[in-house]
Amino acid sequence: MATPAAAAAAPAPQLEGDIKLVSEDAHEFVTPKNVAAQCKMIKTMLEVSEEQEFINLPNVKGKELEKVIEYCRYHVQADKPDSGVSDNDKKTWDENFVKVDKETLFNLIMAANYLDVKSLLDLTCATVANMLKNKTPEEIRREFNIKNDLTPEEEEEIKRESAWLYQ
Amino acid sequence: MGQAAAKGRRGAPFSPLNSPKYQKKLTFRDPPAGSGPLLNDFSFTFVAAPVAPLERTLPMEVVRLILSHLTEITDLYSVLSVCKLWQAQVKEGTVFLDAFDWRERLGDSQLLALLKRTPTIRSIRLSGCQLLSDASISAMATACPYLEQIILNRCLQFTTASLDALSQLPYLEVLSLGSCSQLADGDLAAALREGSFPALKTMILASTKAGPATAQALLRQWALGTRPCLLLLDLSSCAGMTGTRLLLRPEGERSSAPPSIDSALHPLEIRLSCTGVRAGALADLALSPAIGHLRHLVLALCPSVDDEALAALARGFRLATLDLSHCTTIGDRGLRDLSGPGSTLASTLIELNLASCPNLTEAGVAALCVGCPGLEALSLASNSGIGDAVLAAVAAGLPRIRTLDLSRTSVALTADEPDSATPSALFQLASERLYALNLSHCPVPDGSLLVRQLLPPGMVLQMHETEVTRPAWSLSLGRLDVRGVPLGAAAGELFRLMALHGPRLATILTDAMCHCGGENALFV
Repeated sequence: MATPAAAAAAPAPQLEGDIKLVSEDAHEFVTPKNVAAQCKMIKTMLEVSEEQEFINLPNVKGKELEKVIEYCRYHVQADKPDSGVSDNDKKTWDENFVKVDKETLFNLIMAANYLDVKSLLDLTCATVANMLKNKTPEEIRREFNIKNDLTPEEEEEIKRESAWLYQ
Repeated sequence: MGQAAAKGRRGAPFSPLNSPKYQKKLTFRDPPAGSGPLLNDFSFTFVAAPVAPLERTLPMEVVRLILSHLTEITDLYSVLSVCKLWQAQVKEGTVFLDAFDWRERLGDSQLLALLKRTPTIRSIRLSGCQLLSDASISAMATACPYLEQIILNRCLQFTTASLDALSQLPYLEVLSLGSCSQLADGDLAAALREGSFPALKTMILASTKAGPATAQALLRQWALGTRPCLLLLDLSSCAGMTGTRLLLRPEGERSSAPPSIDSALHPLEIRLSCTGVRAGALADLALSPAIGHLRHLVLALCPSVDDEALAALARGFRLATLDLSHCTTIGDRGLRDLSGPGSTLASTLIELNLASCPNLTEAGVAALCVGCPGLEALSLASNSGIGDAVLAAVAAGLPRIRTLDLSRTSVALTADEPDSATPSALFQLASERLYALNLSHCPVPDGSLLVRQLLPPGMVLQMHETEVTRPAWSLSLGRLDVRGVPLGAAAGELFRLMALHGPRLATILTDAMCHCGGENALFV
């Protein structure tokens, strides 16, 4: 997270002012350019053309876009070296930020992936990974609605291979 | 379908993931009614299509990213038996494995089976896996060619044959062999010959039998530019590092380093804490023209590092950071050499740790402050000979100082006259430069300067176990750490002000909270 902080601390001239972000379902968000530029994809678009007044984001819904902007806005402020926000505070904030239902979390992953916000993608993916921890294969399948397509032989092989873990 | 999917994602480079083999769809339960189309036009064929109004998908790269956060072996095996698709993602996406929890059970056959499942792994931690022998560690080199980091601390069975196998890994950047005491100095030096470990950046050999031969081999290659990536060599607690010589060039050879050396070398850090390294070895190092690229040196807890060693450092070294903590024999004379006009070090030093060097006096520190004006961080902790005069010396001599550790010194903040109109050295420092100040365990009396003057916003002040009995601090501090301070009746006032200025006072750490009158203090 140090890199976006450094980028935010020294905004390029063209990152002043606001930009209007339009979601797939036509919600509009007027956002400071330096906040929006936390999304690498938007940053690239801003760099390509400085004059545009709005950016259409056909792959992100308003609900998720709002969350992504909330995340970027917080981190632009908190990652400044003189913000006085400790790493622990940021961690707590991040933890609370991803306390959402599974559906929203997956949509947030997709939005972070599309908009290219690496720290948010890491955060959300780590959250899903935490949902996988300490679960049996059957529990994981149920949680994620996945059908078991392994042959009995393949399952048996993995069981045999991992038997030493459960002695 | 396969073709359409491969083209589906505009601009995405072709990868095996786009091949039809992996075009499969993950479905998730309970999508909300009427919610939208796919968020990404990357599409997959169905593995399972349970009866649900709409399926949500995650691109394989994201699934892989999710699985890459799993490091536990049990979790990995659970994921492996979920479905074929996830099995493939583990194979392509696992980056990190930590076997520490299984160190007593993980044997050669188990590790080999595991590595077969995770051929793209980048980092593996096998600390304490004492069952592992050459059989599996050598096999690791062929099974996992992308390894960047291997931690083998306290793996006591493998031999240098394994090192030879690992030495061909093209991306290996970090190799940690801490406490692998079965490897002899000469064998290590031979394994680290020129051309081995081509990408090596960090070499941890702490608490091993590594000695002058290993150090000399690695440092010679570094100095000649044949090991240009090396960033860190850790030889801490190596009992064999006692030699008085450490020549970076065979004796008698007079050739200078290749001219390209300046641009080729990265800044190097060497850790030699708890060793018997002596002035002679440091003087040898100083002879090499490459030594200017040695930026960080840790000599903490070295009983043989004395004033003479400091004088050797001053003749050629251009360090940015130097740790001399617990070098109990160094004194003012060494400090004067280090910071004197002829010292190569004086103008480059940014961080200096002089904690627990009991022979230092205020006069020596004053000389240091005059000679090393670039210092940004200075620790004088646990030196009882250091008192209030140091603050004036620091204020006068170190315009860039940001972090000052004076814990467990004799600093009492009583040097100034109580009614003095001119700001004290401390507050001059605090308002202009300091970012963090540690006054823990100092005999700071109640009614000291801290009570009378305010510290600036954003500053970190640590005052564990000091004797301040009133909230003698500015509430605009960025962070205040007063663990162990008996706040007493003052707590109420402190907490009332906290309530008023809360957001500005980012963090307050105080276990005094527990015994200061509880809720009435917090909710006044």
